[in-house]
Amino acid sequence: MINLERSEKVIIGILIAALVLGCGVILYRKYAPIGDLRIESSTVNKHTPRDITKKVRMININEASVETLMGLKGIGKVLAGRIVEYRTKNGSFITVDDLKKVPGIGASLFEKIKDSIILE
Amino acid sequence: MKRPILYILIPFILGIVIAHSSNFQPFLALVVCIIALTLAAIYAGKNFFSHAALYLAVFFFGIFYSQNFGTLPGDHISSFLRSSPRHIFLKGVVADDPQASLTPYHKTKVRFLLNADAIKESDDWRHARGLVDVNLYASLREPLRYGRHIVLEGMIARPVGLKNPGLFDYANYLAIKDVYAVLRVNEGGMVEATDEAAPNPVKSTAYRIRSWMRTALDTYFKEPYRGFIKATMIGERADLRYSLSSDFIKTGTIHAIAISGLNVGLIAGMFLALLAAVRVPQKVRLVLVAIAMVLYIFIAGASPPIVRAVIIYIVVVAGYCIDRQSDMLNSLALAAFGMLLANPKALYDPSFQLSFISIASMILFVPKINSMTGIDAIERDSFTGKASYYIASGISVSVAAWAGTWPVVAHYFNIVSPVSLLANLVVVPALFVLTAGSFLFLAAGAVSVAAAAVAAHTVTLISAALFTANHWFAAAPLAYFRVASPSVIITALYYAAIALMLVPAKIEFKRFTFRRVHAIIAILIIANAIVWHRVASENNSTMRITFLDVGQGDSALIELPGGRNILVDAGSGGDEEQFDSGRAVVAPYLWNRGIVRLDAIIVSHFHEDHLGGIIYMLENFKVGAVLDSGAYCPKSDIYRRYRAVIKDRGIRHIAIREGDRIDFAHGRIIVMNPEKRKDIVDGNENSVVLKVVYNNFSALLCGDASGSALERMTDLYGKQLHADVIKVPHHGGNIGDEIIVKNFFDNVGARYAIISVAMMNKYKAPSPKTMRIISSSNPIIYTTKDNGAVTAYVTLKTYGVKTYIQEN
Repeated sequence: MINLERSEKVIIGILIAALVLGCGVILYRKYAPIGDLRIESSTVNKHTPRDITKKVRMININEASVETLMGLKGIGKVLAGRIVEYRTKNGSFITVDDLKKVPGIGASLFEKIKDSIILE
Repeated sequence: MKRPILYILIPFILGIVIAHSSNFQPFLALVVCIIALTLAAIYAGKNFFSHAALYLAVFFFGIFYSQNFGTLPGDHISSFLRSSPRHIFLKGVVADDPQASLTPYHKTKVRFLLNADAIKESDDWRHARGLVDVNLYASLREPLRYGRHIVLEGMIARPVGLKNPGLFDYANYLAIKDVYAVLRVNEGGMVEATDEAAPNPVKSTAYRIRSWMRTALDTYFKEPYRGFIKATMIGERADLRYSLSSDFIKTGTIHAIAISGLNVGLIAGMFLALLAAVRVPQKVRLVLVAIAMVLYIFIAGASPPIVRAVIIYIVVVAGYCIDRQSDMLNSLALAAFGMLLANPKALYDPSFQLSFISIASMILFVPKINSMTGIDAIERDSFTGKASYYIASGISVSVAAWAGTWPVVAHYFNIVSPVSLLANLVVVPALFVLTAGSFLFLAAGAVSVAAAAVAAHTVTLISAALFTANHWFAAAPLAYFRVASPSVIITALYYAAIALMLVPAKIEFKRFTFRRVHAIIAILIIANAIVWHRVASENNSTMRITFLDVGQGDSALIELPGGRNILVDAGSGGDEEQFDSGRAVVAPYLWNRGIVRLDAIIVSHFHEDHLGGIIYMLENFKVGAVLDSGAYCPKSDIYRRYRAVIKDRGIRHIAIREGDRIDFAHGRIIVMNPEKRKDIVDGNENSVVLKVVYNNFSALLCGDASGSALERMTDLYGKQLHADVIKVPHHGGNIGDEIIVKNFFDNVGARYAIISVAMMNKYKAPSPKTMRIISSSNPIIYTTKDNGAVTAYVTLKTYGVKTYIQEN
């Protein structure tokens, strides 16, 4: 079993090395640490179905058109358009805080409009 | 021909495999077999064609024989079974040695096999044949014995096995042993013995001896030694503690507890030496011990390893008596052939496979290893020479057995134990000493109580030392690894590679030369192709949510694109000695998918059917964080242990409430329940409800949320509850007021409704009322009891839901 020609020894050596390397990559992916899971918190906007009066003045960010959205204080045509674009790409807003993800809507603007928006 | 039986065995085995995996017509197979046999006879002689025809005949005979075996007669007991248990009366003969044990609720349970002959439901007795696995909880006036003809009253049903891809299925396992029905005789159920049927006298004697041995062992040994000695001496595993056997599994020495050729060899050797001392002639000695060994088969529970070992002993003795040198491999093949003729399905029994592969490996590889490593060259004249030779040979036996069996062990137990090479060197000799000591104890018991007590004490001490040593081996770094079942190709390549060790380096055929090194290079190339293919295809943008079949309980695995894995609940469990979903289902499923760590475990609420299995998961996996509702859970033993494990292992423990979420690429997991309130108490209403969103797809995992929780979520979220897949709350059981529930499900509007529930549960879930409400919007309903594990595959573009069992 030890009587191998030089070329055969080289070939077997390379193949074994490649095998070990491949297994190393697989094992690394399996065991290498990845960062901790991040959990974010947010507030769920509460509303009661019976509070109809408030509903009239509230704007549903999941269904409103660009024009309707422009009714919000501080939201112009551009931002309204961006809200609709975000909605189309990422689906409905689950919580009100998601609005902060729309480019251009920062924390302060959000604070101003958050009491006027609903999700449903 | 040197090994005739071996060359007949191989086509026979192939025949069984083909019969098992296809529906080849048995009659057709028989016809082809007869034709091939005729051809072989016509062209008889030492030519290739005649031999080939013979092997072909055996192959088709294997198909015919196996198929024929698999078809059950018309009056077989299984034809009386329906999808739910039925109350019946059953007549039959006790077919093995009944084993008594204590349930966790401190009731006595007697377990045995019954060879049925008649069944009665309401009217008359009807003929019914077949083996029935009986669990008897009723009180008995006198103990049941093998061979008694009895009448039983109880609930008969099909065996229940959890159905998850790639995992152990109890119903399948019983079918391999020809058992297709289970009977449960409850307290107060009738048990009456009629006249004694004519039992097999050999079995009767053996079981009486076993009973005597059992009483002796029960009297003089304490736990955990009692369970261990009973398992090794008389094959009774009922008292064996799981914590002990798990150490043996980890160190790859569990075969020592399953009675194997070791015990047979030692016992035979002991009796041979005794008879030689009283000057019994050699051939008489061999025959007497052979008879004793047959008796021992039944004393020790007739498991495949001991049957195999005794058959080999008998064949070797028979060969010697006829003055022929019998080839070991041929004897092994004869034993295998005999056992397969008795039951072709045994080929699929893990115990059968492991016994024969390990012995064949030892026979084939030990001489090769000895010659390659120069052990053969050790001179055995001096004492040290002899000692070194035997120790070195012992090591090569251990290596040979491990080399041949580790892929099979990895397949069935998801474990590879490099430490077994070392551990076996300690465990095997210790077991020789223990077995000899136990027999001395039994002999001493016939002499005096004091002598027996001394012997028992000595055996106990040696056992204690063995357990401690084994525990150290199991705790050593890199002692064992959890692995996925190796694929067929990898296993085949591996066995081809080690088989090449046995083949000469160069074989000359008529036209070309086979050089072994070329075959090795070919194998290495294929192996590289497989490995690098796996490396290249790691990228994955599919999300998988698998609802596992854990019986009565919930467990779902969310595999996120990007490689993170989140487990939601883990079924029931928590008691080492009882069924634990974490240990039996969830952990093996994860190992089989190559998952060794969990980024998060989410516990919906702290009821035992969701929390029980979590403890095993926390102890055996690296967990990034544990998320639960943070609810107050009073007076629950399992909850206290859960908190203790989290604290001991320093795992992040985070309370999640509605509004919390975990984001990932193109999706997120959102918590919808319970509310952000101070001081909530654990219960169904405060189950963590999760919505998993991936691009356009969403799934709702509801825990056990019911009643007011459903109403609150409907009010708050309304149409936001919409999901494509819903895991129905509370195992499809009662979840509250009909209108509230209907509103909830209408808002969810799921296309697929999945219910995680057991086949026979005491709550009679799923409840017809809930099923009616769900069905009103016509979703596709899958239950884990009928469909096994259910998986939703979601890509960026679309999704699909597959079940493990297609509805029959």
